[in-house]
Amino acid sequence: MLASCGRAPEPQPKPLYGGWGFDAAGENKETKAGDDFFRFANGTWLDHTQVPADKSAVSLRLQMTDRTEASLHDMMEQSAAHSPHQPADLEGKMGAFYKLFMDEALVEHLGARPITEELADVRSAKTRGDLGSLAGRNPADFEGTLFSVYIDADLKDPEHYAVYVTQAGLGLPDRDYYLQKQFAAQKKKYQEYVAQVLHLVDWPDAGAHAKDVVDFVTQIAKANWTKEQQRDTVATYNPMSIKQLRKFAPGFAWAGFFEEAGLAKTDPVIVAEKSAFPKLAAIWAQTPAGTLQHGTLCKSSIMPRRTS
Amino acid sequence: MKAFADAYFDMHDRTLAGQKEQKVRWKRGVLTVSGGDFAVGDRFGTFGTLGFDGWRVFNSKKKLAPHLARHLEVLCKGRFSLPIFL
Repeated sequence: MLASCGRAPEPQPKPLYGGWGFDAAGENKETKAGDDFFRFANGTWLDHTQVPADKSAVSLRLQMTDRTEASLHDMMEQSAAHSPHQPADLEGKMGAFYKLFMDEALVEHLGARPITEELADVRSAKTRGDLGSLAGRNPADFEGTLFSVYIDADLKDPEHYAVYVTQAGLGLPDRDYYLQKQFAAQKKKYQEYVAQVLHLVDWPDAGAHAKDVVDFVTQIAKANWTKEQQRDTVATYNPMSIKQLRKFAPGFAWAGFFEEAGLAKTDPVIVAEKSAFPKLAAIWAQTPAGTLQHGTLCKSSIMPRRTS
Repeated sequence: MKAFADAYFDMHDRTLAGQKEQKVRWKRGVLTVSGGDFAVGDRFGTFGTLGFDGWRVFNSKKKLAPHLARHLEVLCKGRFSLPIFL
């Protein structure tokens, strides 16, 4: 880039996404600012903007996303046109993968077969110990069934990484969806969805199990901290050894969990929603293993991708 | 399999996010392979299976970095010296 010094200045690129600053054309001048400032500032935009049917939001920024999507699409179509079945480089892999995804007849024919191995692992996990180990395969194969583990910069020592353990297990976006009346429709739909997923992988008695799973997750929701509580960075920073954690929150298969996550020798781990942990571990210990098994299956993070 | 994809769409995109129609297949293909906008949709869409590698290929073909650098240069004109970024 230094090489550009001394050359004649290049013409300035034209901005792709509108001008800089506030969009005055979106104002609604008929609204008095003092009555409703939001409508005054945005009313015209709000009245005339349509959310595209295949999106859940609209914004200037999404124009950039669309442009990116179109570029990636071109590139994938081109790569797919000449990628071998056993690609050796990244471009070939991208092309081959995209080509297979677009082969709807093949995807239809395969059904749930791309997750055969993981399904077998869930089927053979009969005890709480087995299921705790499966839960440790988070986030690679499963989202957190009760707890999630991740690695990030240590909030009190940013020069080093730390292992964090947090509450997890909800299938809906927030604990309120399980506990507040206003979300009853979404909760009901979620139970149907769980039944549908179990049915699609040929699990017997899908309907009954779905109810048990949602009841189990509702208990988790009750024990979980609220989003507001989770934003307290001081309260969510609780270092302890795995040994201390086992004592502090007995009932969960901590050893197998950390073993499977490849973190058995970590000391300390940072426990986030501290007071929720003993409650969650107790729920795990009291829930029939069969329900935990179905709950784990529903938290498969590979299922949506590999079966679609 | 259509049944899995439709069930997922119906629950997550329609019921929870209010999206009316499922994205056409090629759009879902792009998402699955290389991921999409982290501010749109759910977490399965953020990182594709190839993660950042999709962008490595893109950059190697389209020389994206110099293009972005040029925009950055205009944006930051007079405020920063560009070489600190690149």
